Amino acid sequence: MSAHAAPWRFSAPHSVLELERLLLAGDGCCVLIAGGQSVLPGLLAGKRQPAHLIDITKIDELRRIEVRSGSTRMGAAVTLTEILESIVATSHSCLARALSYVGTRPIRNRATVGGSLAWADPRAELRLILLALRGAIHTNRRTVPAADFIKGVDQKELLNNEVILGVELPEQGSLNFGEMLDRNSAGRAVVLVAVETKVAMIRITVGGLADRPVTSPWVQRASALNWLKSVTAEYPPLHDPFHSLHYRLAVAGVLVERTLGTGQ
Amino acid sequence: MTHDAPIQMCVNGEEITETAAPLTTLASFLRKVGLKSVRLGCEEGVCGSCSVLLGGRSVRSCLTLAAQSQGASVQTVEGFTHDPKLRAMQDAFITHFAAQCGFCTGGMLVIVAEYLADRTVRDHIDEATIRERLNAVVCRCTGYQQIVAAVRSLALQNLFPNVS
Repeated sequence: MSAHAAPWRFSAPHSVLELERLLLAGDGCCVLIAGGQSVLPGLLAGKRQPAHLIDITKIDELRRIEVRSGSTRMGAAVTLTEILESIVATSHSCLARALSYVGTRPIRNRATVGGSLAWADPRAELRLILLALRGAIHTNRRTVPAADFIKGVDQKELLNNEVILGVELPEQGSLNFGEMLDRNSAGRAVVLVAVETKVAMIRITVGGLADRPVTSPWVQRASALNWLKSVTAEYPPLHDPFHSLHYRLAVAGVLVERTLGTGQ
Repeated sequence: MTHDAPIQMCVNGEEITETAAPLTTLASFLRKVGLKSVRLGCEEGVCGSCSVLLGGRSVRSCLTLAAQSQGASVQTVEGFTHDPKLRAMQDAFITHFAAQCGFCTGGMLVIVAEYLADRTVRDHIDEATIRERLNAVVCRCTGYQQIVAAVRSLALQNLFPNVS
């Protein structure tokens, strides 16, 4: 099969209702696309050949950022640049810091909230922050706490014909963020951490060690490294041919210390 | 079987309608209508030579579908031709020897145009910010020193005084 052979149909619905109708009619043969920055390379190479490609970026209700007291809601088709240029960048500076590590500006101009969550990269920044803040994911069926929604590599998080509509972001509190890329900029994530502090205790959320981001209970700062070492005993370790687990553990420890030290 | 559909967009100020298959990229679409400044390098969103402005924002045209750009406004370097700002960008690139083979230059100028039009640019004319913006395009021959110098000189010229 040559590249660019499928899909045979493209739709860009204007409402969630219209989208749901298309999904029902498509009988599991649809692929959703928003910014397309992760899903398109595979489609263009012919690795997946859906019968129907559905663009969700024309649905207005998925493009909104709504700030309410106590929580912020962002639609699935909101781009990372839109978040970084909105009030959310101020109210959730840790999220802004995390998203600034994603790709390059043209990528952030296309990449979306829903795309990042659906693609579910084990080291995705948005997913990690959502877990650290104990946020939630809204779909057309239910509202799922981030901790229940986030699973390992290739594990199905969404039900059949279930669509991510947006996320709910609680206030950021004392959360800080740190990350190491495989080069200074425009690189891939190696390890990322989000750390919350309460008096002498800290709560760490780490990405890059296991097949998913993982949050610690409240621990003493001195116990951080011990907890980080326990992550891969509980969850399958993330395979990375370029950075050994031993190395990533050391980086995670340094990132936690730096995150606490800078207070950023 | 693929279902081609007519796709209309405003390219460099001109309304264009062309039929394209669902998986036709914006890059292929633009090259088909003769805009050869859009260069295909890696075709996976890394090199940036295919960067264009879509609704005023830089995007990888190799990772954007033509069908998704339906009704949108697209700008390539060809569209800058009658704009004095392009002349200034060309002059700065020439003065600082910021182009060599020229393969990446179209994408580079698109990224620079977006940076210069950014209303916060006057607060961020530092080398770190310029390098952070330029990391979106890979140049294999000139290296970045001269390009950074050209962009810095452009930022100091305040080409977009009307942007508040």
